[in-house]
Amino acid sequence: MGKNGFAGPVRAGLLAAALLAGAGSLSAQSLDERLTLHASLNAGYGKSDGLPVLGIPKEGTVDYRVMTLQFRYQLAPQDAFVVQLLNRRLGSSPLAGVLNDVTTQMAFWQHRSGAITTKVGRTPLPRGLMNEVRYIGTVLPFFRQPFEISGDAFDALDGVLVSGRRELTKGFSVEGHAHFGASENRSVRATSTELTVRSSRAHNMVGAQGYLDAPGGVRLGLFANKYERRTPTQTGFRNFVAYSGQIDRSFGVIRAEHFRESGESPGADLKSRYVQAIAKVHPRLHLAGEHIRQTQRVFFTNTALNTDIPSVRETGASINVFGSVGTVLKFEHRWRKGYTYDAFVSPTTVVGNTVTVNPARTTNYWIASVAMSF
Amino acid sequence: MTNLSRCILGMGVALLAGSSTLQAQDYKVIVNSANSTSDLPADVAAKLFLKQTTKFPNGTAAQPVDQAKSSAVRASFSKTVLGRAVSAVESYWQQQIFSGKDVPPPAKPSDDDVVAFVKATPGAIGYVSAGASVAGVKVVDVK
Repeated sequence: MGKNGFAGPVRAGLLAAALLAGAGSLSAQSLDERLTLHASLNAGYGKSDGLPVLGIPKEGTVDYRVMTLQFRYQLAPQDAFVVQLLNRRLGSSPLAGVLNDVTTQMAFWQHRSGAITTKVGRTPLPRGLMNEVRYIGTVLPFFRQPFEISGDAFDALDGVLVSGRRELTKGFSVEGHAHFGASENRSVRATSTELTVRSSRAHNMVGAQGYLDAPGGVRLGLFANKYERRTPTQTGFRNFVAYSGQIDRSFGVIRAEHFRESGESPGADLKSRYVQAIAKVHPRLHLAGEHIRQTQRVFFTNTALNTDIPSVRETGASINVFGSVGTVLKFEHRWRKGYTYDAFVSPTTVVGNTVTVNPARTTNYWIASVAMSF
Repeated sequence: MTNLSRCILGMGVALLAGSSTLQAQDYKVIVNSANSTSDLPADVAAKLFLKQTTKFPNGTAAQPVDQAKSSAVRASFSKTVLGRAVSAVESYWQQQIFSGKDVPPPAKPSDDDVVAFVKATPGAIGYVSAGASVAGVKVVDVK
């Protein structure tokens, strides 16, 4: 069990029981005027037609869900204390072995002073358009935010987050979030010879997310940060930058993001981007499509051989059916081509001083899921 | 460019070109009678109800109050003032809640409950049906 873990299955069961009990009324529960309880569930069945991907094996799995349970206590009009517990099951993913049954995804004190909000503790990290709500299926058009963007990392910041918003003229506004602290990072990466699960901790992480909001539902974002990456055997650094754009209208949404992570010890250079569109064809029926691309640099001892590979090319389409009580049913089909699976796919072959990029593998997979939140 | 990319690009053009329509006003926006506000631009009212602004232009701290999700007056108010359907507003609040930012205003089950809340709360702002009795509170012009 990790240092943020609770006592495994017992706590997971309690979380599930609390969530299901709350689902009966499907509205925020005010235990008194100052304490509110919110919860979400995102659970599905996934099946692949070939290689296992993102925890979804060929034989299918129902061990696939995310649950959150949030307590918010309003200490005073300007002060609140928020705790959010998280339970995840990732099917057959290699990451499942490094996850706790229940983790504390949020535990922070929030203070507002005019347009400035300060959060201290473990807070959601503003990092791109959807990072803070990556686990909430009711606001996502697919089961998850593109994993190539979110990774299994940086959902929360252990530190200080200062946020502000300022109205400009003619309907424009700006929003900024500056952060300092630490975070956790888990990833599955294909090297030239194997699939590895990497767990590390980002320290002295400093950076900011800024947004410009314009009339017509236009939102433009820029995120940048730098941090020390520490494992038991190595200390390196990473630079991270992300560009975001979104148009959100009553009849549809289109958003696109580009992320780049680079650094040393060990070397890393990862570029991920996606474009996503949602057509709100009816208040209870949305159709969504997205395309994801990721390029990963494979590093060799002889740096002259370092090679960029198209690690992921994926297209997804989904149907979202909205229920009357905060529920969403989703059916999605995804076509993946690349080298990033839950089984090792050798991306390159080295002969002498020549690197050959091997043929990419393709897999289709499907997820049928239900999401609810209140 | 893939077919999907073309489709998404086309949708982006459509999104930029689209326009919203206003519904006939069948609600009244009300504030506490001690509040000096007599009119509000619609965008300011929207920001108050979405908690993107915490104070009235006159400096009074705002306490918005909502109506039940299923009420007709909420549907009209959401569409006209907030510029989005109730379901979209709900989605907005789910994002606010689970990103740890804020929680939605309290929702009252009837016009009378909204009026009672606004009457008893100095910084309150709410909305009621056009035909509701608003004795003891002040109607503000939102445009």
